Amino acid sequence: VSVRSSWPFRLALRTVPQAWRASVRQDLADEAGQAWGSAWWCALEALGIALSLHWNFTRAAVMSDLRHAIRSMLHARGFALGAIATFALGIGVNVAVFSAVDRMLFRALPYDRPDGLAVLGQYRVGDAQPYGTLPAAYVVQARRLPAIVDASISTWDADHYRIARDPDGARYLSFVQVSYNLLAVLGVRPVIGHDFTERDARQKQHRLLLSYAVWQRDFAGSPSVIGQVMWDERSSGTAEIVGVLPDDFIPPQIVRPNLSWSGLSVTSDTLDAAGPNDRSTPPFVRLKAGVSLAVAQAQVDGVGQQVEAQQPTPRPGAPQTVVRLVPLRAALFGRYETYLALVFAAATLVLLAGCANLASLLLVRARSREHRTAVQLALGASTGRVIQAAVIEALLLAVSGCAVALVVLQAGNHAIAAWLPPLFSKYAAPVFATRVLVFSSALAALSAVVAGVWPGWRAARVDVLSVLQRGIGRTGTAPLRGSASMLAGEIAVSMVLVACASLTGRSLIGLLRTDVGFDMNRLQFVSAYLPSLPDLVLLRQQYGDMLDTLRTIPGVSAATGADVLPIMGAVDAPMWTGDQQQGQRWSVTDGFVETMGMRLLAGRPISASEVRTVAPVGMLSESGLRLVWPGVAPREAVGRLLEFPAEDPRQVVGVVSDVRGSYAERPWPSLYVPLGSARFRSMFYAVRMAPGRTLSVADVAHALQQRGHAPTLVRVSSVTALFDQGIVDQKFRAELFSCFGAVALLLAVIGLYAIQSFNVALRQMEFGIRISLGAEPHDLWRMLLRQTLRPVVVGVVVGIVVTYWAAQFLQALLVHVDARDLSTYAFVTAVLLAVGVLAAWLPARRAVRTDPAVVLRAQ
Amino acid sequence: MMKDTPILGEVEQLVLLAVLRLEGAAYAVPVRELIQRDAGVRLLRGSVYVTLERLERKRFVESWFSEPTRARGGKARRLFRLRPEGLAALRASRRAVDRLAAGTVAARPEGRRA
Repeated sequence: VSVRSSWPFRLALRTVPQAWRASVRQDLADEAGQAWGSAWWCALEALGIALSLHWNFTRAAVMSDLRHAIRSMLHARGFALGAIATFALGIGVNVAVFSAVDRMLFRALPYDRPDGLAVLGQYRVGDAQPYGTLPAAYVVQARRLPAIVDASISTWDADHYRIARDPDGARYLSFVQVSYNLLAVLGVRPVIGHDFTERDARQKQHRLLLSYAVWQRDFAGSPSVIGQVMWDERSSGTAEIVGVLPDDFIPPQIVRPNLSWSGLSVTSDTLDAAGPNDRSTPPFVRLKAGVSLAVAQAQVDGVGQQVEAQQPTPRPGAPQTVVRLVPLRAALFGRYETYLALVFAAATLVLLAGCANLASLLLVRARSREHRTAVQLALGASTGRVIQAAVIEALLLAVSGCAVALVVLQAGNHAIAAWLPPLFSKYAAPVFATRVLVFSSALAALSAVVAGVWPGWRAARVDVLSVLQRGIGRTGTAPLRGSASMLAGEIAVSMVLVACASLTGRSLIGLLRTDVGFDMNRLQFVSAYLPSLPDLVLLRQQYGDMLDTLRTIPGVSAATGADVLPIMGAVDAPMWTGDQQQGQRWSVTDGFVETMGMRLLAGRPISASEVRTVAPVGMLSESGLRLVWPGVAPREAVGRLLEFPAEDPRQVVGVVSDVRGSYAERPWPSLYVPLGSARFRSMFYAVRMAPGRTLSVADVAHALQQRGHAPTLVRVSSVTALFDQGIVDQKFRAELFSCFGAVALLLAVIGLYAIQSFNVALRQMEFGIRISLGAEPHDLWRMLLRQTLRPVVVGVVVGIVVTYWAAQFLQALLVHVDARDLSTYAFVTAVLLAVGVLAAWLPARRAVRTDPAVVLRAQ
Repeated sequence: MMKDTPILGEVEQLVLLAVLRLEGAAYAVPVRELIQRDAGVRLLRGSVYVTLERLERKRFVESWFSEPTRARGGKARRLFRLRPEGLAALRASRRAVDRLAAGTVAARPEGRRA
């Protein structure tokens, strides 16, 4: 009795056809009493039975509808092709976006029990992003805590190995360095071969685990890959391949998410001891089964005090930090979630526009077939039956569109992968992956229902009597009803997407126009490392000699060096001890201002002799000047003495322009001083080329070797390219939203045009009468324009409201642009109105040219 | 010219036979149980209902509503019995299968050789 009266069962029973309902209820309730007793199971069984019975009843009808839809699609090929192509655009965008964000937004991480994994990171109080490192003692201590099974790390670095022995023209694969126990912590097993062992790490063996993709691509998936060696980039050493990672494995990369990877290599760090100065990347932690994050956090806090006590005293004014455990998933993808959700939402909007477009095309089509529908209704077809036929026709178009989209995406696979920024291409699933296929078919089915129901319902409401009286082949003259709301929706969606495109575009243009404070043209960034020496004076001299050599290379017009170049980003070099991270100090050689192409605002640059003697002089940047002497003009600052705590006074010889490390970064208040040998580590070079000349790695390596230097890892990159890399995401967003906006706009134009031209065709008689009664062409123009623009205006207003609301999320993607800036809204409104006028133009012209005599005679 | 008799489907045969054996007390649950017990075939609940429905439409079986069951809240349930056409179709199907199998290994009881 209890099962019989439970609501899930009662509800499910409602879906069973009337003739069977009582029997099914009785049968299932009887059996529930004996066998399983659960109301939910009864409900499920009832649903299954209902589905079978319904399908049995309607199969014939569905098949006949389908046959009819296919016939009519073949009959009206132009219409079908247009509908399929436009819908393919909408769904294609969605499938592409889904395959790119699925891994990050919806799927579980490909590790064993991913909920039991966390990351231990050091955070500045109030920050959501952890520092790149934390005291290594935390890792050692964490491994011993009772709540934690083990901890493992992935370092900052990657090792580069080539497959061929011969280094000439070899391609290098990069292997992310991890501790030996990473796979054990993640709960992943190699598909062939074995994992790293602790002995590998202790004996400093070079061992590699290959990614599945590289195994397939470069080793043809052969099992004999185990035991093969690869050659190191830096030394002549080799590393042995011990295993292959599973196909769906992704390395957990927190600190350098954009580092490309072809596999893993093992570091010699065994994570069982750490000095007070050692730092480590944030470790991945496996919690014991059933232990909550809070419990583990409490234990970490317990050892935290002990660890902190052994740390060197922090600089005065250093920010407060906390060490926190964060679920691995949040640490990996948390920071992208808003962005990804926004992209996903935008793609959904494009699909909505696609659905509205399909619906409006079907509406037009239904109208031109109203005679047939009227006959069906007169013969006793129900409204549901007419809607069913419309949905099946929509389904046929949607599924065809979806198939077209999938094939096109698969064909353009490589082009898309090259276009996507690393964040997306790294986690993107192939188009024909099961999840992507299931998603796209479900989406196509859903869209078909959304797009088919409304036209079907409108078609079923036809006035049977008047249509039948009129006879076959004569369409009524009443304007098409029910299309305006759909067009308005389509326009609203376009409005939102075009606004997004225009905002991200403006943000990108703004960034590209940013004054970076130096001249990027023909500027090359060169690095070349020498083996470390205990004698810092000698080391400094060797690096200085390399600089002199660079200056002699043909085509080089100027060169300079620095311990760290501003274009590499800020480092832990405060302008003065305890400046609370307000300023930066850069140690540079002579020719710095000239080579970089910075503007000298007053005074002179640091001279060669000052660098040689490491004279107590310096140059301030504009904002550096404001920091130390607010309100002092550049010219007055020259010659003044900088007196910083715990160092000798330093004379300011010049004031230079502010320099940015990337387009989006704010310039650091800076002080440039001569580069001496005290605490010297290495030098990086900036080289300005003569017009039309380029610099290659081979040029540099050759020149240096001729002078007897043996540097490793010679790299040359153009500064322009480095800066472009910094705005890859900005660029991608602007392109992506432009693409979305363009698709939505195109769909809106097609929808508006289709409906309007159909309307004009229906109302020829009316126009004929109006013209013969003396209506002037401009009266007709005005009337038609008004009618087309009405849904456009409604759509624009709705779109503005939605965009204004969405601005709160959009703002995060924008630099130097206000998401609620009025000029954007004005611009987009103008674009959409122009599009509306354009779509109304051709049909209206046809209306104005109506020959009243011809039309009236035809009646 | 011989008239084409429609051959019953496999499930249809099973369900018809079960209805025949249940002698007027046939409804979905015992039909399914009987088929599972004696024929060793496990049918989905849904397909039993669908088959009964189809057989009734072909006029091989007929249904009527029983007296409401005695349990509290019990309602009438649909009971089925074979119509003469059903019996004829069943026989025809059996004959067709037998004729086709005659003289082959399939017609002999298991374990015996010719």
